[in-house]
Amino acid sequence: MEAQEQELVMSILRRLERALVRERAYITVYSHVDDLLERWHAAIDRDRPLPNIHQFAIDMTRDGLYLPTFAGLHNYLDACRRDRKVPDRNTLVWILLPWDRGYID
Amino acid sequence: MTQNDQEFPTLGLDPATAQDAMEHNGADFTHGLTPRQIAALPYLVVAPTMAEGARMARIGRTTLYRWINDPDFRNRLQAMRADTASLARAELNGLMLKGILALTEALEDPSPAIRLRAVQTTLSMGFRTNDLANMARRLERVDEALHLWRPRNKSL
Repeated sequence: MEAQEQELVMSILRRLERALVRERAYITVYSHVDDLLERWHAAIDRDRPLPNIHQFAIDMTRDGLYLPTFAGLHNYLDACRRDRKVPDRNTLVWILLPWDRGYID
Repeated sequence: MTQNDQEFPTLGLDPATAQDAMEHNGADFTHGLTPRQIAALPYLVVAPTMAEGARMARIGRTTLYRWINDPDFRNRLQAMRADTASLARAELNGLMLKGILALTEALEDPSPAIRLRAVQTTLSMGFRTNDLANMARRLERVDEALHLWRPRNKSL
């Protein structure tokens, strides 16, 4: 791909990314939540320490998601940790993206 | 010369090649095809143009275009082309590794000019590869996002 073509593709890509901010946020949140739940299940099944809540938030930030809802997430996950129960997938997504429930399963 | 050879002069393939041409991923590759079509397939796959392939396979253009309209023949041709392209990609990947090794050697060359050239090539290729990988990752995400967006915006 020539530099000019690459620049054109990048420009279209940036426009699409801006237009699909909401969908991209959901995809990223779901992928992180699913990964967390898988590790959470594995930890309970094997009687190992539960996943690190802070690390979960850090990983999402590294993936470009800067959400102001991490405090709520912390409270919910902390409660799950105390009760040693598996967090609910949709509840986690609601807590992280409370302003829009359009893509909840 | 056997009767078959006289009838189909393009069947000058050795038995192993003919067998390869007739088997595709273990499936019966001859289904729905005439021996003449089977023999022509490898030529059409490797030729740069269909006309050149027809010339190499010694078949007329009209015959070729008639065959192309035959779904069995067209599907076999496409499958063989896809396999060939996949082999070529694997070969290119191997050559790329060889090229990188040569570049690594050039980075240690006693001549400063060659070292400088190797450094320029390495940096330029490295940045470009990273840019393309980053672009591919972002495109993948946008593609997933579009799949999520579409069912909910059917009316748009």
